[in-house]
Amino acid sequence: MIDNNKKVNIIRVIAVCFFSTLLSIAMNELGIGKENTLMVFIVGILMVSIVTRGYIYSAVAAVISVMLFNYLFTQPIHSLAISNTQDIVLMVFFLTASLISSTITSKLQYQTEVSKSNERTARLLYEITKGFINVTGNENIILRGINYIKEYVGYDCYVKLNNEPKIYCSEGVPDYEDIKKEHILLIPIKGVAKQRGDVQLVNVNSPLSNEQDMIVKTIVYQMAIVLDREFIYEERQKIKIDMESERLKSTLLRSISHDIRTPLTGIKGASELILDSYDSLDRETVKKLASDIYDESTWLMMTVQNILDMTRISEGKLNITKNYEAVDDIVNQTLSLVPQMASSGRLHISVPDEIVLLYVDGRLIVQVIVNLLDNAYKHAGENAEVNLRAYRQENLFIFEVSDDGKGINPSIINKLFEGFVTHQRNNIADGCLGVGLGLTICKEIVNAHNGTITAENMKNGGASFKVMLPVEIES
Amino acid sequence: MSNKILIVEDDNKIVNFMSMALKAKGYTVLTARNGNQGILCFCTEKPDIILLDLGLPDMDGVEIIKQIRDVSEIPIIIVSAREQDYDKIAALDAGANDYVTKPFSMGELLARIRVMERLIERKTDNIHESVYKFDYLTVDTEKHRVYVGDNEVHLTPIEFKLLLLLIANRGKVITHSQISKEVWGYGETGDSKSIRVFMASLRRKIENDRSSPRFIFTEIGVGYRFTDE
Repeated sequence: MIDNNKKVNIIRVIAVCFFSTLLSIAMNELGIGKENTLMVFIVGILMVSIVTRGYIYSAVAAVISVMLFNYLFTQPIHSLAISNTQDIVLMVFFLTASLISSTITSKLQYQTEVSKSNERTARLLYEITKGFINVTGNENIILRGINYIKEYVGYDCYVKLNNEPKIYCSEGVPDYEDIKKEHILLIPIKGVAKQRGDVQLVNVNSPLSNEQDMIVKTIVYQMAIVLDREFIYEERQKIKIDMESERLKSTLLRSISHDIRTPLTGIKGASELILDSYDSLDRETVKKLASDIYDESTWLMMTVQNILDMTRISEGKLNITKNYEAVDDIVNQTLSLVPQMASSGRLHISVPDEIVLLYVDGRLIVQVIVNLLDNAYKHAGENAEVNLRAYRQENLFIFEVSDDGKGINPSIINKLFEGFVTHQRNNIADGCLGVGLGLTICKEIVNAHNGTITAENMKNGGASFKVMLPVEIES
Repeated sequence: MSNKILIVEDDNKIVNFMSMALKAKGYTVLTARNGNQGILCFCTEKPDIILLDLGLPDMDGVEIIKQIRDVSEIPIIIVSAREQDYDKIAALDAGANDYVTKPFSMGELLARIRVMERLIERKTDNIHESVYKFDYLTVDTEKHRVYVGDNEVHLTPIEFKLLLLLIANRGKVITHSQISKEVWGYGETGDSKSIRVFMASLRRKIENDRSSPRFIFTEIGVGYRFTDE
């Protein structure tokens, strides 16, 4: 089958030969000499070499022209025989001249074309390189590469990264499992340190042209560079997080050893005293010591529980089991855990009339509120009034614990939830123990629910803590 | 009547103080250090109440409950460490009556034991009441009527069913899956949203003060408990 391009060229050759023949016949009729008529054919051949691509067409045109000239204008006319020697010389030179000139023209054409194509490739490569600069995220990078290959080379392809099972491909392409595994061209994505994965071009029925090959390799190479960059970035983030959690852990340890040792000292001391001097102590003193042991161990128990929760959270393994919980249930459970506060008459509760369900880990949220209530009672003083308000504000559900105490020390208000604010412990009378651990845990728990926790001093001077949780909109 | 209590627990210190405290209250105390001993002791000594630690060295606590439940309705109170929350629900579903979480106070444990004693009394007396009275709440099971104080309140059929279930198991924790099985007729796949909503609306009808309920108590993440007093 002759392709279209060839057909067009052949038609052009025929047309040009036809017109130059017509013109030369006309000139001959007008009595113009045959040397000049020959010029018409030369012009025709030059035109052929301009309007066609390839040396062969102008060569063919030259031969045809010579034969036509021979047939029409040399003696004997209307035959291919030549009787005049001059004519032979004329035609040989004519043929040579036209072959040379057409060769030069087509060479020139070819070079122009090459340089044009080089320029296009260069621009394309530039586009590709530029296109990868601002892409982040493995998936985006790979999809962009796939699109480029489809756009500039014309093949569908599949990309697989070594460290993930997913096989990427552009939309509308059949699944990797469903395609025939023949005619596949596999190109590795080679990063600096190791191979990141590979690109598989499918339905590659004929070898790629040099240009296609170069473009594909450039795209894959760029993908490798950008994937490398992404990997290094992630690695750095991870190191940063690791360092952060390491720092947190050491702060935690310091804080723990303090928070545990203090009550332990009390327990050890009091029980030792009872054991050593049981006979000399009066009943009241023994009772007082036992009650101290009880208080200190209660505190110790809470600290240990908090530490356990904390380590569970910081290892990212906190078992959050979310379920729908009614706000009523959360408040009820909270109050049952703080019976002495609930019955003191100084805790005021307000809950919404409507039934609100929150999608949360109920026990953890209860723990947060208990922690906040506990803090309020420890820090707002003996006779403080504490409010627990639960209400909805647009798409947020808010548990607010506020008191009418002396508020939060402005110097620590910004650091309340970070690390462990324990420095107060020594300044506060017995029974008011540190709060740092508790609030850090509260924050972690609330964060794990996509919520926020805030602390502020109110206008009347008391402290107010708010836990804001997203409410799922009922569909 | 002095009830016999079997403590199945592997930690010596805890066994010591629990048995001391229980003996001081006049109970007869039996102890077992592992599951097999516990089952043996249950068979030979016929205790009235079992306190069962879930973290035993030789057997899974839930397995022990199942074995005991095959032959007896004896009240079982689970003593669990907090990390065993899931086991706790599994144990309740397997038929345990109640639980306390370590560390617990003796007062708390004694209160739970008293609830179990009342359960035993109810069982032995075998009274089938048709009208229940709890403080200001009156429930007439035959006429399907509920009164708060002197005012009749209207409950939907599901709310009434819920209330009866709670009353029948009063003093005991009923897990969410038990509720959905009993009230809706299907198991753990039950709709956890519905239970919360129905319970909240039931509370709104029978409790005078919702924020500190008198009758229905929440055990968050586990289930509900109806008052036993």
